[in-house]
Amino acid sequence: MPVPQFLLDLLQLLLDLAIPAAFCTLAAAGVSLRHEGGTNFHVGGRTGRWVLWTVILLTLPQLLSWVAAQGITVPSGSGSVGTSWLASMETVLKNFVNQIVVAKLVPVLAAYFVLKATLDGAAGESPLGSIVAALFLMSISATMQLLQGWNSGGQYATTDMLTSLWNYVAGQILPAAAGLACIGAVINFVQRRPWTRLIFAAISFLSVSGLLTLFRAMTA
Amino acid sequence: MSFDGAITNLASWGGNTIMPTLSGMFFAAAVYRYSKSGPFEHMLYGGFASLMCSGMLRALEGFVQQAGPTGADGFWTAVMSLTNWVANVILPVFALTQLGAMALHMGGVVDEIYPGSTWMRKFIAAMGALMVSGMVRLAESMVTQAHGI
Repeated sequence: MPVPQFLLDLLQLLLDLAIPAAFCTLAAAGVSLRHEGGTNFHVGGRTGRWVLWTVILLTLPQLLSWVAAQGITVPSGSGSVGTSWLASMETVLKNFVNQIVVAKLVPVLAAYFVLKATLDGAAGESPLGSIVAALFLMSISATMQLLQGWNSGGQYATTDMLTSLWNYVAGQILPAAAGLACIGAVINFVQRRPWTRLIFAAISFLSVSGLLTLFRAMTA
Repeated sequence: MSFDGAITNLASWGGNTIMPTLSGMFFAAAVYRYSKSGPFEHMLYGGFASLMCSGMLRALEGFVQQAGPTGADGFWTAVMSLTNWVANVILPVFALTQLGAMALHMGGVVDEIYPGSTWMRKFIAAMGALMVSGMVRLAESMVTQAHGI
């Protein structure tokens, strides 16, 4: 029995909206990052879940191709939406995400976090969490391009992208975070607060890939 | 601008712009605390450390890279290098300061010319207050001429 055209169009609509939805989930990850501290995240927390959903949405066709390779019939989603009102709905939703969420709303959210950073500092708390969240939101378009560039196009694109994300965090983000840890150590030293843990944190940030290799060797 | 570039710029701005500027504030606070007989060493050392944020990071990077950036012994090598550095570089310098203090004590400086006496402390504090900019320049030149690992 052939699949009704409306259902195929609906499927195509959902697949076409995967990337705009990924933008939304990445923005939600930035907001959740601040909610969880800004410089840290909770295991099983919302930041990790939103990032995971972003990766899944970006690699949805490849994930479906893996399902299809297992012998399960998956309707093709490589065409275009034939139903006119569905096509116009797709255009409206894409424009909403691009023109309102990404171009207008996310920068306002980032500005809100900059304001929060100044208030955090005034309240005697570290402003770094809000600053990191603001930078995350301000760089959301570049991060999306980066994530899309990591799409290997194969059936295992989801896990490949997660691996690339880990390498990016370990190889690019954490060495810069080590510099912030050194600055934090100096500030804590002046304020007579614990500072040695930040020095060891900087060493850990710089050697996190080595630590992974070490733990792999332990389990071998 | 990518997220990693933004974080790197944030660290660079903090370590190379804000902290060296704050070092002058820390030296000034050290002079003021000294004038009140308060503990001023933290501020003094903090002023030097503020000028050395980048150098500290370069030192830690050097410690880690001795085992290779992804070597399994990276963390251990870095901690061992840090221990070696503290024990064989910092502590000998500390020993020199202790020997200097010993010589001052033996010379009767502390007994006959007591640096903690009020008139001398006030004099030194006044001189320090007039020379904070010079102290920062001196500390900057010391840090600039220092050699990395």
